[in-house]
Amino acid sequence: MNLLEGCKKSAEFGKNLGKKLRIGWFYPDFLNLYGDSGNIEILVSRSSLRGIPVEIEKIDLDTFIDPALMESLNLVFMGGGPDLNQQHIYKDLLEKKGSSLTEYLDYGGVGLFICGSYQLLGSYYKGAAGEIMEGLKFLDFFTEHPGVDEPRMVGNVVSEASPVLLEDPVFKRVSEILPEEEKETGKSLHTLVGFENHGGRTYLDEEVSPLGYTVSEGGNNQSDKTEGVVHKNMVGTYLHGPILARNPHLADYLISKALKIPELPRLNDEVIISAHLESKKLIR
Amino acid sequence: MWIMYLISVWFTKVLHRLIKLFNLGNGYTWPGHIVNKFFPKIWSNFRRGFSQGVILVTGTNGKTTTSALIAHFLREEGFSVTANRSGANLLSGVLTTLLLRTNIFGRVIDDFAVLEVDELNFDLVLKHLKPRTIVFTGLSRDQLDRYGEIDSILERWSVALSDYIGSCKGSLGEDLSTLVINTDSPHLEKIMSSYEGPVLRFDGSDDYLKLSPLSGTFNSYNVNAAALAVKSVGVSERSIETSLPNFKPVFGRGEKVYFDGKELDLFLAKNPASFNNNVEMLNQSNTLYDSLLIILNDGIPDGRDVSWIYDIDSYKLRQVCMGKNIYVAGTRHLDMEIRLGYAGIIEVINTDHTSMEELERVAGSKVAVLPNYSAMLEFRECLLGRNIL
Repeated sequence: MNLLEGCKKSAEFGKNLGKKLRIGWFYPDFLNLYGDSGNIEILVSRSSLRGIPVEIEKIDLDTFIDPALMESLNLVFMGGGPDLNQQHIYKDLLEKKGSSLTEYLDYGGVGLFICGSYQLLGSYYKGAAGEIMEGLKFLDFFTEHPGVDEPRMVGNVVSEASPVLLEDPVFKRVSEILPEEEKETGKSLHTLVGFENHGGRTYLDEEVSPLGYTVSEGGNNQSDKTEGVVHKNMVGTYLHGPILARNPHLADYLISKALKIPELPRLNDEVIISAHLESKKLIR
Repeated sequence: MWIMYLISVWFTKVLHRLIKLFNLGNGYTWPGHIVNKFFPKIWSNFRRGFSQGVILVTGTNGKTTTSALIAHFLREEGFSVTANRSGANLLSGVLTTLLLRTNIFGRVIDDFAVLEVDELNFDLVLKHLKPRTIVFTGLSRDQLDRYGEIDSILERWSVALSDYIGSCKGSLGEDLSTLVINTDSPHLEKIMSSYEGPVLRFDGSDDYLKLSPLSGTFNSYNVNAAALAVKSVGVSERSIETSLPNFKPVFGRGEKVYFDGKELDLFLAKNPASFNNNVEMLNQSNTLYDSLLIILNDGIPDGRDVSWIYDIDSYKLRQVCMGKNIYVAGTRHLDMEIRLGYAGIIEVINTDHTSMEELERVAGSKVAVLPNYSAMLEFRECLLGRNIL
């Protein structure tokens, strides 16, 4: 796979842009399950190939967050983690970093939150034994684990992007990448694919938009077909894969939004699009 | 009672042969599964059946090579050993293996049993057997969509061990098993803290490794674990040192296959730990490979989730691919091609590991093959035929 094949000019793009992508990576050592760090690698790669410089700011337990630091970031990433690791960061996030983070997102900051960190943005998480963990209350949703005897939600997932995402002009542009042969479905890639693995079930308030609606089993919970959440410029999701691996449009959506540029030059995503379309055969 | 016992033994032997004869599977799952369901008391025969005892090996990586080394050391000492294959490491496979290694009267034939046990079946097996030694090779993330998280494995091991201590206390004169654990596995120390029996610890020093035909840091751990385990049952230092050079790597773990004038070296790469270990070993190795073939499947035994390929270290991946022809195959070859692409490895050829014609086209005379579990079985079946496995 050569992302620059036939797109040599794209490599020049960043030179005159005068912007760089500054990613704040929250708790990289604790929250990195199921290849989630691949999302960072993909954002770095897709930006660098277009000549856009990237800087990664690792935000750990001992990092002091001040407004200047948050203002210097244009993308925030937080992965999923095993329960034990989530407990390690929980106190630090809630007491020391939470308000800066939600303020950043409230002002339209771009963010990607996977699985456990997505759950922490809601009102609360109720664990398998009934224990309640308060969330950051950024959005009106909650997560409840139905108990250890209920099976985890595990498997390949395909979802249709929600209307909020589809109507977003940036998403419209980055998703117009389907090749000619796929004419039946139109030019744009309006699905998201990935692999979920979670015990908690998340329920969104009516006012909150999901990221997509599953056409397979799985998603936020077992009843309403919603998957993930999208609000302003933040995306929360249960999808691993890592999610950006087979969803190049979502990666470019985040980069475009972060740099506030209306259009990103194309990369050659032929192989990735085939893998994306193939994924529809994997669902349960 | 003894009639039920004999029936179970004969049932297992006959069913195993029939399954093999009609090519319906490996013949290790169903016999043990059925016997365990209808006559679980049969296990008591194996609790004391081995004159020299039982050694269990569990963990996420290194079980197969470690148990093969233990069996090798014991055989070189002149003992006979009942050992299971890696595909028979669940409760049913362990029981089938034990039942097959009995004579027509159902009596245990061998001196020792060396059994590798799947990490989530360890508690089930420990309930039935009274091992002399237990080896914990370590824990890393492996096939998490099947297993849940490391914490939950540790929890199960911890409960299994405390139940086991409880059961030993009830019976007079039973010594607790010797535990052999990895010093570099902090997870394990926690659950060992309450253990009252002897605990031995191995590290990754390479003194033994140098005497063996194996290579790679991860194999240092395997060799050291096996050496400690057999020392705990009385094998001498000297005997270990003389047996090491004759050890033959287990299939898919450094095994060599010859085909069409090529030498293909197989290194099972089933999760981030084993993939990174193998890549590191290839980077340090003196052998010059012309090509590298990576095979990625998403079958049930592999785990349906292939996200873990992004936990492979990109830098080491670029290093190992440098100067080689790179091939990808398997049901998720596209995902591997994308992963390599994002690591900066853009020249990749798609091939089919189940077709001899395609494999003939792989360039060069020395090829390193990195398959995950089901991919390795398919690859071997294509080149060697089913019966060899």
